[in-house]
Amino acid sequence: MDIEKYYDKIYRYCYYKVNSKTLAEDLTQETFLRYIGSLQEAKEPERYLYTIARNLCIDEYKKRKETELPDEDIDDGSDFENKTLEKLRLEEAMKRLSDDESEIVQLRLLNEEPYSEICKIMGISRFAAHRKLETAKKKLKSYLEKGEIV
Amino acid sequence: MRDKELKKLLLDNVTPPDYQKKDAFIRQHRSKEIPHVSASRLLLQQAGFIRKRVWIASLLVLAFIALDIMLKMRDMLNAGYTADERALSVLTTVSFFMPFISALGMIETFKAQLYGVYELEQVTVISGKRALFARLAAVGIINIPPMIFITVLMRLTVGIEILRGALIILIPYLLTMILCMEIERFEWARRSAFSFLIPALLVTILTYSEVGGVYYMELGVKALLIIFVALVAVQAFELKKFSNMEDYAWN
Repeated sequence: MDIEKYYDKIYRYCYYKVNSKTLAEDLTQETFLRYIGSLQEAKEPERYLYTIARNLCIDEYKKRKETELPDEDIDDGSDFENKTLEKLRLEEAMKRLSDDESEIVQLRLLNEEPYSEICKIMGISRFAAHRKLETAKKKLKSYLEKGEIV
Repeated sequence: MRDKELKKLLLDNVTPPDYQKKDAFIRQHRSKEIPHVSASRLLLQQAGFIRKRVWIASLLVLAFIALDIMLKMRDMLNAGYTADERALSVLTTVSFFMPFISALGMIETFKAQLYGVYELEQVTVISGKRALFARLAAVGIINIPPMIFITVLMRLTVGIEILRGALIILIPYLLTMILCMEIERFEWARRSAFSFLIPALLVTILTYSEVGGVYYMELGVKALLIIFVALVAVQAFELKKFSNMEDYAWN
């Protein structure tokens, strides 16, 4: 398995889930370590990597909920006010999506995974994946353009 | 808002990972992920990279040697030459061509260096040194059966001992290989494949020269064995050096 090929994808996936650069990096590396540590090399590493990453992110989310750690990247001292505002709006928009919609946006729009792969990762039909993505896009665009979800 | 813009926005929102941290992690775990390629598979794989014209040229030269031996034998028997004279004549032909066969193989072995893609080869999933050894072996394997054939032919036609015949063939072959590996390190040698013919020519001249009052073809088995063992040792040292160079390059 080529770590380099999947590193950025898994990192982005984790980043949107935990919203922290450092944490996303740690979770990405932990994902690969767990994959490498598993006894057999999978034929479809993406599916396994995303599954490991998702589970690690869920665990992390639970941990954070207990300790209530702040999101470190929301305000990192950047002087680009507009960029920060845009970032906040996008994060807000992403929060308003359902879990499945958020997942499909990350897989399809962010990581450009093929539908066939997304269906396997999420365990849904191609039609359902397409429908969910369209709904998610509509919601995101609506929030980003009008500030509300129609 | 178009899909493209939304994608860009999503991507821009991600703070890129720390490059050094990422690089260190990938490097640390690279060795664990190199898939195991068996020696036989690697050999077949690398043999596939050796161009057909090299196979054909090597085989043609060896076929030519065999034909020459047979033609010479027929003419010499008619002209009434002695056994020693016949043996010397056959050995002269063989010694003349062996360095060129070796050089041909070496050109192919060092193809990556000659075409300036050596660094690329070093970072492939199979290490460059493993690929080099496999190619050397592939070239050797294709040259060994005709060499055995010639050795047997020399034994049957002019009565040269199998061991002596084999050593007479292998010494110029090995010496050319070593010299090719040496000159490959120079920038000027890497500019053209023809530079690999220089060692071949040098070795040919050496085999025809009288050293200490003796010609190479006239050397006894003991002397040939000593030279052969020394050359094998040098070759092993050269390969080890090459392998170390790759390790240095990695670090």
